[in-house]
Amino acid sequence: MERLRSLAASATPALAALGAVAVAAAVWLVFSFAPVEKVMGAPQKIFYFHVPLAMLSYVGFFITFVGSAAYLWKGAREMDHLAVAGAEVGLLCATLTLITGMLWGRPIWGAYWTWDPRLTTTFILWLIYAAYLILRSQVEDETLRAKYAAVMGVVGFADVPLVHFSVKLWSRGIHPVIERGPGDPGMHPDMFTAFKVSLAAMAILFTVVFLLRARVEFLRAEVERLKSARRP
Amino acid sequence: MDFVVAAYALIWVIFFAYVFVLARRLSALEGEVSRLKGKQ
Repeated sequence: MERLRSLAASATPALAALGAVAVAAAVWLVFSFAPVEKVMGAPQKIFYFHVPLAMLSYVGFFITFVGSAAYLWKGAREMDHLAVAGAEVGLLCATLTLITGMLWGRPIWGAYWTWDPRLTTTFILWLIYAAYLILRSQVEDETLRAKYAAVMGVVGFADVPLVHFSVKLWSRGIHPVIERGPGDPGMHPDMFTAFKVSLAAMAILFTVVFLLRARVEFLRAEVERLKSARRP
Repeated sequence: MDFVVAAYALIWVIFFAYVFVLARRLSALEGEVSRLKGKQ
């Protein structure tokens, strides 16, 4: 784990630089290369960052799920550190997903918010992980905090498949869905190129922020360890 | 187009605000670790 941590620390600046270049390329592709969608017009441009952010929030919450399950199984404190980093960065992505979704919804639906199944389950997901972080801040005992949070990290992940399949489970929703088929991305090829580059750019930035957040947690644990070693 | 500009602006404002907070926490913790190690 120590070797992985030093490797992550040395790779972070290079990843951040790569992420900045990828974001610049993605923005150029979105506004200068991908065609304007015929029905929705300019607001559809929000899609290129809205969807990757939603996908990356799932990744963050999956890291929390795996870290929490591993902590409950093995009791390794490092897994708890990864779980909290995943939850916080996942919550950041979910927050941005909700904000960009509302700004997309206003010109298309005429309202910032509707209680559509996809929107409602995403909001519940946001509440679950906000509660996860609040829970962590309220429990002082480190072992209890990790245990309670791990249970919540495992149980809370059950909402992720609900969010993803909500448009199929509840057919009365108005959230748009991309109909994909074998070899058919469900959109214009130039739009798909812009989408793939945006997804890659955001994935790189997600990795950078996740590594930084995990480093904060490892350092916090080290401070605690050093302080307790000094106590008589 | 105003909504598109607002969405892209908010993404980066919130993202960089979070990175800024993380950087401050990191630097404070690194300082704390070296201070505690120095006292050992």
